[in-house]
Parts: sequence; C-alpha cells; structure tokens
Amino acid sequence: MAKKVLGQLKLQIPAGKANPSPPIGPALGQRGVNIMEFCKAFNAATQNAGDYIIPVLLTIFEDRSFTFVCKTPPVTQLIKKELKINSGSSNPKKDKIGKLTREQVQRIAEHKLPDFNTKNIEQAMKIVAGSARSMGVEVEL
Amino acid sequence: MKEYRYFKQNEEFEEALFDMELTVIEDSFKNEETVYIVYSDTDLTDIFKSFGIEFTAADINETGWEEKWKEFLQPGWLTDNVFFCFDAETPAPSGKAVRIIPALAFGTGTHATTQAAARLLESVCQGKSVADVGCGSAILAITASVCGAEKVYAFDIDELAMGNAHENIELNGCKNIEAWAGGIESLNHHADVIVANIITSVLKVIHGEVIAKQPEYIVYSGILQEEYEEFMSDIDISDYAVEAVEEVKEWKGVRLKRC
Repeated sequence: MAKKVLGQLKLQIPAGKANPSPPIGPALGQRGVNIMEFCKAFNAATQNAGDYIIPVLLTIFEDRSFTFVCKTPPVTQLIKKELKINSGSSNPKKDKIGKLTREQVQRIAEHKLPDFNTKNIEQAMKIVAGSARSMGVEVEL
Repeated sequence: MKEYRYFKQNEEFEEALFDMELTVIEDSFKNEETVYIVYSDTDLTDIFKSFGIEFTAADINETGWEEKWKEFLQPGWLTDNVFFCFDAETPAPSGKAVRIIPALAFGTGTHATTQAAARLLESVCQGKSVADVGCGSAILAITASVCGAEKVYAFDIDELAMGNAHENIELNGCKNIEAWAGGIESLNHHADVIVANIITSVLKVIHGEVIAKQPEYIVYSGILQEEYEEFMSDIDISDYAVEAVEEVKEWKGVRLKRC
C-alpha cells in the first residue's frame, strides 16, 4: 500500500553541502525528518553538480520517511554564473550589465531543459533570453 | 539565531533575502496553512516591514527542532543478527545490540547505507582490528566491536560527531574502541579491516590512503546504485577482489578482499 503523504518542504541547498545547521536542521527536525539521513542522501545526489544552489522538493510521509527531487538551479543563477556577476541590474531597461552569446544561452537552456515545460531547445533558449533581458542582460540570438 | 515565519509568498522579498545569502523554505503540510520560513542571525524586522509582510519570529532554540525528529525513530535490525535501538534498556532480541543516542551525527541505524555497511562488516570482524573512517555516531565501530573485533579505531573530521561517538561507545560499554577527531591520515595503526560509509566523492579521495594501509578487507558504503560502476572503475583496486556487495534501497555497498 502506498504510504500516506504528510506534507512537503521546498528548500534551496548548495550542491553537496547539506549539513544539519540552520536552515536545514530546524526545518526538517520540526517535521520529524531524520536530518542527517537527508543530508547524506542530498549530498550524494548532488556531489557532482558543481557549486550551484539546488532547489529541492522533499516529500514527507506519515512515518516521517521521505523522498526528494532535485531541480535545476534557477535560470537567473545560471545567467549570473555564466557572466560571472553577483546581481542583476537595478534598472534593467536602462543599465545593461552584460551580454550572453548564443552559445551561452544554449548552454543555460540545456541545463534547465529538464525543468522547462518545453522539450524544444529553441523554445527553451527564448525563455532563458527573456529572463536575461529582465535582469538587464543583453542577448545575442 | 531567529526563525521567521510568514504566510504570503513574495518573490521580490525572496530575492532580497537571496542577496543576503538567505533562502526561504516553503512548508506545506496537510490541514495546515502553507508557511514560508527563513532563518537569520541578523534582525530581519526592518526588511519584513519594508515589504509590508506580516511575520512571526521565534528564537530557534524554542522550536524544539533538535528533539522533535527523534520521536519518530524506530528500533530495528541493522543486520540479520544485530539489533539497533536508542536507549540502554531495550532488550536485544538476538543478544547483539547496538545502542545509539540520536544526535546530529550520521548513523542512527535506520539508514540503508549503514545497514549495507554493517552487513558487509559483521562477518569479517571476528578477532580483527577494524578502522571506521568517518565514523559519525560510531555505529559501525560499535557493530564491529559487538561482532567480535579485537580492536576498533573510530574517527571523523567532524568534531561534533565525535562528541556523540564517545557517548555511544560508552553507552555500549565498548572498551576496545579508540576514538578521536581526525581524517584517514590520523590513523597510525594497522587495521585488518577498513570500513567507510561516506559518499563516493569522498571515498575516491581517501581511497589512496586506504589501500596504502594494506588492509585485508575494505568495506565501502554510501554509493548510489547508479554510480557504482563508475566508482569501481575510478578507484584502483588492482590488489583487491570484490568479495561481496549489498544493495539496500537505492544504495550499494561493497566488500573488497586483498588478493
């Protein structure tokens, strides 16, 4: 029989670096999840994922066992990493803070593809380009 | 540190927090309102107010998080012969028990990787010296001691884990376990058996030092089944042969024997 789902937690955790200090410990501990077991499972799953912050959806069952799914990093984070910048433009329409080449947009789109509704790379690149423009990043498509 | 809770999602607010290197946790449970949680050492009152977000704040120590998860731990079987439980009183159905005080050190007995490692370890401990690398709660070191090891060395680079390891060693009355905070390089004794239940990226790093000690047996656990083949081809096991493997859930453990 399928186990009863009690609830879900959405977290963002640096790949391979989960540890029991806040925010992970308190958020999971209060929900009855074995903190260290989650940390180990998450770190094993993301140990080769570079230094991105990984969004995680943790599903908790009635007996406090859990499963989790790792998503791809937010597109804004991928853009920032590609351009080696820390934050977006405070005035995206006027102040441009960088430029993405077609290859860079494609690389980001391929990274995000598993989480996009489209499986078409051209469509995915358009989504990435849209996010980039809204951050004040020019795009060469 | 304070725990802040609020009830209306706000992406701009989340981005402002992200720039402060804080991330928001969304907590949605049955029959409860979805709540957004953020933990911070610095006072967030002003930033909440500037976004017009209502919130509650509590001292993190008042949330009971360090105790709450322990309520749901269930004793069980680590191997076919070794029982694990969380106090000194619970009788061991088989006569062999490992008693663990749950803490923020890995290894309460319930995890698949601990069970796989314990199963691979128990049959090769009798009369041997055993080293538990990255011992966490020391559950595998205690298992080795309970299964007849003559001498056991337990160490972990995490000093907090070692506090719990010492408590557990004492609770189990294992006088033959020597435990300290440190990595593989701090092991100055020969060990017939070296066990490490960590994750593959770490196992790959320590492997060179493990084989340099020329143990008779090596037990590795914490390997996801999907990465097993790659892991085994990445490490040099030319003097060793795979003697046994254990699969528990999505994890795999392996025992190597020196040829």
